[in-house]
Amino acid sequence: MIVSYNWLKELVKLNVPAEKLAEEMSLYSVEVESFKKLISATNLVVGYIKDIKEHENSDHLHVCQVNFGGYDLQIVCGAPNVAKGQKVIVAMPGATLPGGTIKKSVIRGVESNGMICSLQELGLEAKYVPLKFANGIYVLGDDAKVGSNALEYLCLDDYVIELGLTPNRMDLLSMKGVANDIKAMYNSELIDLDYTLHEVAKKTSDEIDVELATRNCYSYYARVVEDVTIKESPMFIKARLIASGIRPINNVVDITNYILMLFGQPLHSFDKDKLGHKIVVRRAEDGEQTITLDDITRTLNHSDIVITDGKKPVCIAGVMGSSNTEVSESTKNIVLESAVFRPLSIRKTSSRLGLRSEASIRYERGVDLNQSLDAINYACYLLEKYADGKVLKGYVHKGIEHVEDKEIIISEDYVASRLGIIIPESKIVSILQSLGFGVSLDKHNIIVKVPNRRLDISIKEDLLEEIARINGYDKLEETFPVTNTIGALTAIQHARRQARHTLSTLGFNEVVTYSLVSLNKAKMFTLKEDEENEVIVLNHPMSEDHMALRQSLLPSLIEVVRYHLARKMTDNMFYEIGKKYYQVKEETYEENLLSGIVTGATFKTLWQEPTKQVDFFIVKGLLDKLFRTLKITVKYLPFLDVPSELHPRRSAKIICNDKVIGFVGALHPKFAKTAEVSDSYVFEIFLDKVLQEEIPTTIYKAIPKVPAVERDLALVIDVKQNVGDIVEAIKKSDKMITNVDVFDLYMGDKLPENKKSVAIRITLSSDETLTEDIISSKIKRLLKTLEYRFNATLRS
Amino acid sequence: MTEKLNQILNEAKAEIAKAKSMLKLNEIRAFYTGKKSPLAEMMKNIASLTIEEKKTLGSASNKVKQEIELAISQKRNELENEEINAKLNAEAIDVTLPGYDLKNGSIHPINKVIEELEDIFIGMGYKIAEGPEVEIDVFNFEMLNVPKGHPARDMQDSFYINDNVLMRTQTSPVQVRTLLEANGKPVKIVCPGKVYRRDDDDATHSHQFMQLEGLVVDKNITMSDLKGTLSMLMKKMFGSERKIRFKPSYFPFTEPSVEVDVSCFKCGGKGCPMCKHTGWIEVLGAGMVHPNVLKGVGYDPNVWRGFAFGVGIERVTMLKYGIDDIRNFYTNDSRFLKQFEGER
Repeated sequence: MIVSYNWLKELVKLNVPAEKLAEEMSLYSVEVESFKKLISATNLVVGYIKDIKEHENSDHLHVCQVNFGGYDLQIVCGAPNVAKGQKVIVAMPGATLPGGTIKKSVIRGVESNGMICSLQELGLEAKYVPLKFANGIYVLGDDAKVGSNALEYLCLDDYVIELGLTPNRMDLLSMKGVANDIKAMYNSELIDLDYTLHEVAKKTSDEIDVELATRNCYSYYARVVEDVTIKESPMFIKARLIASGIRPINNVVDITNYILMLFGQPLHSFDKDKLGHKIVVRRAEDGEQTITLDDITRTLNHSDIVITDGKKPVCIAGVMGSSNTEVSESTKNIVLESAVFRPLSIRKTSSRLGLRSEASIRYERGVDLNQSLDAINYACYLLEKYADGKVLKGYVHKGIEHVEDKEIIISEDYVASRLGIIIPESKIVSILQSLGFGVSLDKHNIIVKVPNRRLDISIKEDLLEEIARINGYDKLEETFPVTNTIGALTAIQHARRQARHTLSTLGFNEVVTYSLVSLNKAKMFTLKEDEENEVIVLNHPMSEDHMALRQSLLPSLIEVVRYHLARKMTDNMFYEIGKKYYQVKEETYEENLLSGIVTGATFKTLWQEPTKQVDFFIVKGLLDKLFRTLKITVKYLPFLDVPSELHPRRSAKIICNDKVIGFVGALHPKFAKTAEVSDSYVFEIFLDKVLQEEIPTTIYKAIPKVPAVERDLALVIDVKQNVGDIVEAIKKSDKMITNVDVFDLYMGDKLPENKKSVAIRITLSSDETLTEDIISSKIKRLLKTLEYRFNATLRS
Repeated sequence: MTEKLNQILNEAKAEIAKAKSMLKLNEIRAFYTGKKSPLAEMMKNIASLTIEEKKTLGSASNKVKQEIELAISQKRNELENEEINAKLNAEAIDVTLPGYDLKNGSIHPINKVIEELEDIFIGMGYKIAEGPEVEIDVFNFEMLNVPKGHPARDMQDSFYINDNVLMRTQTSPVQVRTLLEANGKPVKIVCPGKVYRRDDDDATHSHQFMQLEGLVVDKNITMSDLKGTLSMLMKKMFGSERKIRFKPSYFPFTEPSVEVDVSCFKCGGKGCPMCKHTGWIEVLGAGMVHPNVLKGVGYDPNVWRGFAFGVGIERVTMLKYGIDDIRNFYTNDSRFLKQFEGER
């Protein structure tokens, strides 16, 4: 809604400058999106072209002698339509136009003292300029006073305030509604419309009959105006429509639009001679067609409301008229409609047809039918005055005539208990009255009657908002809720944060990527055991790239790496904490994942040693650190049935308490190639499964009094034997064994084929001194177990 | 005799001073303090002296011996220092060469701000609530007082999965879930999370973004409590000098509803390009929980009331760090991310 400041001043007593008004409306009424002078050009004066001569050195320039009342000035003008005897807009020397400042100058040897202007040159959008002046200067009417301010004559000396209307404030979709709110803001007074309608003897009811065949039309007024002259509207109507962002067309159309802006009541005008004598409002038949004013054939359905002449549609109610009854240059007699329809029905129709007009926007939000009659009557008055129409006697009406005020009861205590400040009853009453509400008092109750034009107000809280905003939100105090609760992260939330901080400390950059990905990516990195999980797909995606919900964060992380490699950034460590989404039998599931990717060099030693490229064991070491921080113990097992994106011989399942809690591995070289990334290692941890594990409280153990003892063993085992199993077995074999490290691995000539040697350092500690005898016997026993279980022998 | 002693002492001192190595010094020590040292030799020939003379000579000889030993130990220190200094000099490094590049890593600025906000609210006694991103229409709209066909659904065109399920368009459904779960008890939560709307991605729009929802429900919550809480939040986020103001607005699930401005932290409210010369910056939406929302989750609005607010995390993060394009958050260029290294 764009509000004309001048128009507003005709509707409410207002002493506040436009800019201040705009500022204060934001605080007390509704958001102001923009405020500006309608025409920013200055120093524009009405001039009279007394004489005109061709410029001697030009084939298109004219030299005009322009009179400004007491004096004349010579002005050079290039417009093709400039002529002697015209009254024109002159930008005087010193005037600022959007195109620059006007100066006294010499044009091809001839002195020029200003510029004769077109409307576009004043900064008016071309769509508002009448066609006949589209390519030349604008010619003013004979009534323009020479030497006076041209913008005043054009009624364009105005400010416009654009409101950012919220869906509830339908009452502010009219100038009268805005005037009402401003009246409350400043506790001012409204200025009534003062008019008298001169009806002719001929009766409307003899000329037109209205029938409502659907309850989706709440109210329908019709009036007839005969013998209208279609012409240009008066200046003030055109100017106000321009200020409101509506293009002037002709007097009849302009007047219906003027009423729309003034009352918020959409009007429709039919050519009576094309319409006939009958109006039937009904629901459209499925498949019924009509050609609308924009020359497009529209196919309707049963949820649409149509105005018909008893047979065919003549208008899609509340949305757009049909061309078969359109008011044209030759129209003589018109039927005016002032109706109210069911908002939801109009909303459905306009959104289905993609037709949103000033009318449909108002109907969708709700139009006050108590004003419908006033609106159509005022329109008839304007048609009588500015289209020379004869207004037929009376009107025809069907439907609801009047909606009673709503009664809502509040009290001073109620307001105080909600706002936390005391507004005295008398102040509450005066605020409500300033808003135009009826107020009466009954003991401690304030009984409020809310008129129908405030369709948004139906409960006490709505009144609370009115009182709070008009009273001023700046009057609220700053207090805190008395609710005493203990704030803390849950154990899982805390652990998730720890995971984040640990990885970031380890050198990873955290990323946040989109949950919606392509269908292809949404299926990547899914485990064999999750095969029955289905991808969740949007029913109307905006693009194929964002049409499905991901089941792994890795495709997005790989994309981040691809982005960096394409920009020659080769060393990357990224992770993300986010969700995977899937459905099983229509039930949707979301699980938290922690995923990461490492490419290139992990730790650059720069000038000292060769750079260390990422390998499986670097990533495993990083993960081990993460798991230790989270106090969970994990095992890594060979992951052979990997998703096709992973390297089947360089990937591991991560196991915690016999559950798979994630995986780590290299990308499959084929996949890496298509994904345009270099060798990368990735991991994905099913965070919910990890963090749900109960973490036993640490129980202190006394520090051994005797130093620990270390023993190194070189074991020869099968090439295919996992070292991890052996380490695990050694750890479990004896309570005194507190640590097991692998410090060498050998395969080669010195060993039989299919054998490898692994060097293991065992740490034993105890409270008693470990004698050589005890240690030897323990090692002996251990070696036996290892030989038995893993066919491991001591390397000689 | 005394002369003889002095001579021995001087000879010893001269030799010690000349010693260039520990080996030599040890030899000198052995020579002058051993059983065959000149002093010992001299003491062998004192039989002819009187007891008094013997005493005097003995003590003088001891004194000389001590002096020699002192000189040796001083010289030893000197030699040791020389040796160590030579070694240290040989070990010289260029300390200006770079250290190992142990990467720092970083936390995504959005999550940094979320953690910061969470911590502010935890300090005020709030719990952190969570909810699903794939949400049912009933929780995302209907129970938030946005029935089907409500014009407010226009404000946030949504990604539907089927007629009843969509990507949540706001974190507000967590209000409904939390209240249902609290089952008639007071609630004081904030809920950060991802939300989704049908917007084309550009400098100021993203089809996925983050919100932080706040909700307090109890029997005596007032709008002044809302103002106090948000004022504190803004002071913690943007500096203790900040003020806030409320402007009338509309959200279906709050009544009254307000838009909240914070006084510009760049110009202090005088007006600058950052605040479009108004002195104020719009940061969040808030209001008193709509009675229909309370009713829907079994809280009698005549007894219970509350406030709710929603912060756009990207917006606050952009303001805080002066970021001008929302797409930076989702492109994840490491040259962007690395600017947020460190924990302070």
